[in-house]
Amino acid sequence: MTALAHAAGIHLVDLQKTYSKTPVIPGLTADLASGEFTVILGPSGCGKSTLLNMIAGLEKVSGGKIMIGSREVQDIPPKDRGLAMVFQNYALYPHMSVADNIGYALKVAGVPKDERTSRIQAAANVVNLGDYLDRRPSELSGGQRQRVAIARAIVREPQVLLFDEPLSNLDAKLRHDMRMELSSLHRRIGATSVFVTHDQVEAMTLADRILILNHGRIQQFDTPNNIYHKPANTFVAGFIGSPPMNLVEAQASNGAVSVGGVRLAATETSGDVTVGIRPEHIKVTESGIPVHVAYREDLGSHSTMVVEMENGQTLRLATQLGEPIRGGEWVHITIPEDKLHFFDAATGDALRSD
Amino acid sequence: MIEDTRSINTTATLLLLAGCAFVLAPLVFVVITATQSYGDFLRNNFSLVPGTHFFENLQQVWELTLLPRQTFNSFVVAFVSAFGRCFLAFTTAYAVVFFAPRYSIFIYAAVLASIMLPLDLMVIPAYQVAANVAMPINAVANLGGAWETLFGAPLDLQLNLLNTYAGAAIPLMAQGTGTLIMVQYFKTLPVDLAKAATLDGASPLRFMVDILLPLSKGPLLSLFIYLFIGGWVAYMWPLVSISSPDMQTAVVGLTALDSGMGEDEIPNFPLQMAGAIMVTAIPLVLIALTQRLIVRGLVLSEK
Repeated sequence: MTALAHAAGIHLVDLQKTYSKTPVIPGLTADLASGEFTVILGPSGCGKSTLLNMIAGLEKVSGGKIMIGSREVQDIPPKDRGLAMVFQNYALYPHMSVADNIGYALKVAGVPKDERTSRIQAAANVVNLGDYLDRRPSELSGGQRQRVAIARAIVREPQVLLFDEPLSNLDAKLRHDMRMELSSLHRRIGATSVFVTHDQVEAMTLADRILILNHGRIQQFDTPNNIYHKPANTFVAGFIGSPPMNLVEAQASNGAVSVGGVRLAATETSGDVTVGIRPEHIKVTESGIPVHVAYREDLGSHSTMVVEMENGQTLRLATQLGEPIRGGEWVHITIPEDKLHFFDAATGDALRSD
Repeated sequence: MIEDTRSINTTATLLLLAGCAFVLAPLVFVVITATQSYGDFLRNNFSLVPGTHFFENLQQVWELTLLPRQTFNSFVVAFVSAFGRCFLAFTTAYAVVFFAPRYSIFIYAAVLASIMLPLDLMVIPAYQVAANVAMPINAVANLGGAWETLFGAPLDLQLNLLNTYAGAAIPLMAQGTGTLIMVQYFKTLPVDLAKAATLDGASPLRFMVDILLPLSKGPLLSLFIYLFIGGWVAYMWPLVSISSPDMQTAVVGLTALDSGMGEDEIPNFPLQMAGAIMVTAIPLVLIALTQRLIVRGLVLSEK
């Protein structure tokens, strides 16, 4: 299927949404490149579904522009925007066969029967459902239903594919399989894809770029690698990573940053800062900062611990393999200076030395 | 019941049997009386011994009374009113649930009002309107003599629906229970269904016909049967709005079966009971035929 060669980029220009005077999205500008897989990530209520529905045309825009390719689309009906959508609860038509579900859009558009049949078959083959065309959705498993929903989306050869938390109804194993499938599907068909989720694992694994949203504002829009290694602010730092990054109020003076008198690292800044330390970067060592292990969870491949410094500051840390440490013990930790993140204590924005 | 002990079960069974006997006894009486001849009945009065004249009585009902014609009238009136009510319930519920207009509160108010003010309470105004459907238009046009000043004479349009099927069926439609039922059903459907159809390019009308209507088959069918029976047994309104016997409905016609004879004669009860059985049989057959469809319809609309 090469029909999606005409994928188009999405440009959001000062896009706004207000519900009865409450701004949900106060003004959002972003460029999603053609063929790119963008994941919109954020906590519930951050406006991510609203944003997706506005792109789809299911919700009216309160202000600003949406461009798909070079067309301004915010005032044209959903079906003419050249996009298709996959929904969280599949939204398949229960009374229609798989083939009719996939082909409904073509039927509405008045595509002749022969062409319809061949396009349905082609779309079903892409998601490996070629043999299931006569089944009803109720006879399929959750994963298969979601694949029907994907086939229904791609059969229209859209310029843009939208996904509204499509994996959250699946169990953990199936979600993993579908993630791989979606990823390879995207590589094959290359449509510009926008994927909304609150699951950071989905975001990290699927995305070319992640758009992190909170209270309707973009917190960071970058590659998964940069989001993880160079979080733009404390919100992103705390949102991405499991267990989440330690964010510690610290004081910088005389070229060093310290927490309650314990020196953490050298720094050029001074005054109050928030220091971010990823749990997996903290090492348990022979000597270093003495801490008390308050809580410990063994997850097989690694352990996570909550430790308490002598001054009462708690830190989360993750050890690679289950080290023989028991709860209640005193151990020493070392925090590598080059792995620290510094944020402005007042605004939460990252302080960059480079 | 959560408890499952033998004594409770036995008591419950006995209670149910007593209830059954209480409900079924009059029916048994009807059936037995219908099998006796008028002569036997005059000799023995009511008796619990079945006779052998059931088919004779039915034949008499068929040949000598207006009941066959009136049964057809009932069928038309019940069908039209039930169909109309289903149609109104479906379309109103669609508007309320999927478009949530700001005035939906007024629709609810109207629906509730129609339930709390049944037709039986409004027989007189309903009769006046049925006698001249244009009456409200006339009244508005003639407010303060407006029409007379403009055209020289008061507006006096006439359209009489008394003694017609339309006059009997349409007022029966003005009742909103079906709307509430369909609203509840639509609320159980996934909201994304409408979004998916919108993105598939289906217009609201097309979504209603292609997606919503097939999904509502079960509830609509049950509703239709329920309302059909309601229309079939309606008594007050047909009695008031229809005066000519050959336009009358069967339930009203049944009561007229005893008036064919002289004042002092004992009514032909066996004939009446045979007629009652004939009139009851049609909704019974309807339920028997569609029962499986209804159940399957309810199961198919899986969530």
